[in-house]
Amino acid sequence: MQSEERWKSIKILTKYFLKTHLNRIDIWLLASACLFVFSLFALNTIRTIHKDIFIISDGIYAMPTFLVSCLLSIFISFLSIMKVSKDFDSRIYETYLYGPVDDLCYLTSVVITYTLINFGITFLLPTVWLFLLFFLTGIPVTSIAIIELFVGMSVVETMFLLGLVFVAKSEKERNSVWVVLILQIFYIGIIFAHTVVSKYLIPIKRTDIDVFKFFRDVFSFLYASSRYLSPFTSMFLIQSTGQSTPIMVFSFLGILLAVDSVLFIIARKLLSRKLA
Amino acid sequence: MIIFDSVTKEYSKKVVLSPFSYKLEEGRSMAILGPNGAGKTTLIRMALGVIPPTHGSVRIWDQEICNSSFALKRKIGVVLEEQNFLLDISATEYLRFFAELYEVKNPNFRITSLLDYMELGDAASRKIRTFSTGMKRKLNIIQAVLHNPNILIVDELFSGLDPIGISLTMKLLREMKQKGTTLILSSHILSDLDELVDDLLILDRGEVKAVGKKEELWASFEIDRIGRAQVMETQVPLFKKVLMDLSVSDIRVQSNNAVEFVVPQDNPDFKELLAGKVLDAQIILISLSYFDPRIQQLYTQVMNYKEVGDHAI
Repeated sequence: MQSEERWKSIKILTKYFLKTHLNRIDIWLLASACLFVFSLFALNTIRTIHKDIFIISDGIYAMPTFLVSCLLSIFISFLSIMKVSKDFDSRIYETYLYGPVDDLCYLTSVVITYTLINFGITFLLPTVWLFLLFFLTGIPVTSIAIIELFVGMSVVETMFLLGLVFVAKSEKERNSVWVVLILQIFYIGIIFAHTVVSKYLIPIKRTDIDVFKFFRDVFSFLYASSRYLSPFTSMFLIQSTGQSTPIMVFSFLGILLAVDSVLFIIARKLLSRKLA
Repeated sequence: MIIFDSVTKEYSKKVVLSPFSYKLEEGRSMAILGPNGAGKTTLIRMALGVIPPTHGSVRIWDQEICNSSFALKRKIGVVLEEQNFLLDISATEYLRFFAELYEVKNPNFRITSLLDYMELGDAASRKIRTFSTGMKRKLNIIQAVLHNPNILIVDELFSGLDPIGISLTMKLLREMKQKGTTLILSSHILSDLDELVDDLLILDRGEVKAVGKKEELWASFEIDRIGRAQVMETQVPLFKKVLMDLSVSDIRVQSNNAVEFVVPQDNPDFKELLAGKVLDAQIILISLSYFDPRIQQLYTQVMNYKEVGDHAI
């Protein structure tokens, strides 16, 4: 009976949260920016491929998806954590609880709302774009491209849930926005720094002095460690190194789902404790 | 019926509300009074199950209220002092959200009629973000009464309302009280509460200073009821004698033959006795009125405040 009542409230809350978001310009700007960046990267990748793109078309969208996922992860988690932290700072969250809504209802509605927004922007829009490109140019839409997009969406979701935990944990909720932002920039920075020092800043001749050796060692260590700590590194490995076997992808998605569930439970516990 | 059973609230060992017990009967209205930080909102939050009490319980119709008491919460309406959410939808959509949440029957009719009642009909399709503070406040009042709640809780009743808004709200609250709604009101403006309130709770820094029915509190804090009569000029001494016969001590004769006196609290039949004596003495009364003490008087007495008089500046 109670779960029925709760589910009813969740549905109503989610409907109106979505309605409010769709009435705001930031979500539309984000969606347009995402599509623009994805198009830019994807078209650039297609342009720079000299071989027959109809043979090697599998990996075309890997890098654009990775880059867009990184950008979106930052922006979606930023927007959503701003919104949720504002709900806490201004005690709006508590206002919902005065009605037939409890903390689980609120949290679930917030997660569903942002998951749907994330799904729309990170997965649905680029997928539609890929199919449009197929009709225009004939570049086939492969299952790997779709899976890559799905992986990107899952990483964004995990970062959003991590942000929720920070919001629920921190005393001054708005500070959590910066914590999550810095964490993501750090994670993504490791990948870029490692790529730059290990691919481009290497001595050309054996006799050259390796001035970047220290940095290369540090970033190699950080990169190797972040495989187990950062979803971005795992996504990068899956999408950009051609190791995306179905087992790897599904294991990664399974791990992300488990992490998401744990983060949700922790966020709920922390919220309940905050109210007590 | 709302029962506060030894309710206390502590935050990291700091007591914000000392043990408090009270039974608010159905259909009655209670004012929670006190300065800022007295614990009024904490008590309201506990009454709605938003925060759990550290000790004790709050029971509504014999059910302990908690965060997940969905059915109970549907019978309660709440107006908070600050309530800013869903700002990017129209007033009608906002109310439809609450109508869905509270399962209001015939929501469109109810929304339209309440918006018109509170004089917000013209702004129905406008986004809430464009509303003034007073309009938002009116909208929150509509939202709280939309589902015809059995209990209505209003935090800072008149906050942000203009005089017309206050009068509309008072009219609405009077109608709800007549229909049997239990009211819990907190306000800083005490002058308008007199006619609406039956019970009083006065808090100060988490301590319950006074709680009970209004009449009982007047008696226990020895706050007098005042009677005022206007008689013919020649009959003023006779009327004074009648009053003295009824053990009235504090008699003051004012201009235009008005006699003001303190109604003795130990004589419950005073009004009937006075009427009988006046008839026997053939005194022609131009007017006779009794005035209950004002909540303000009780509040200042309980809080040991000195009333600001003419010599305050």
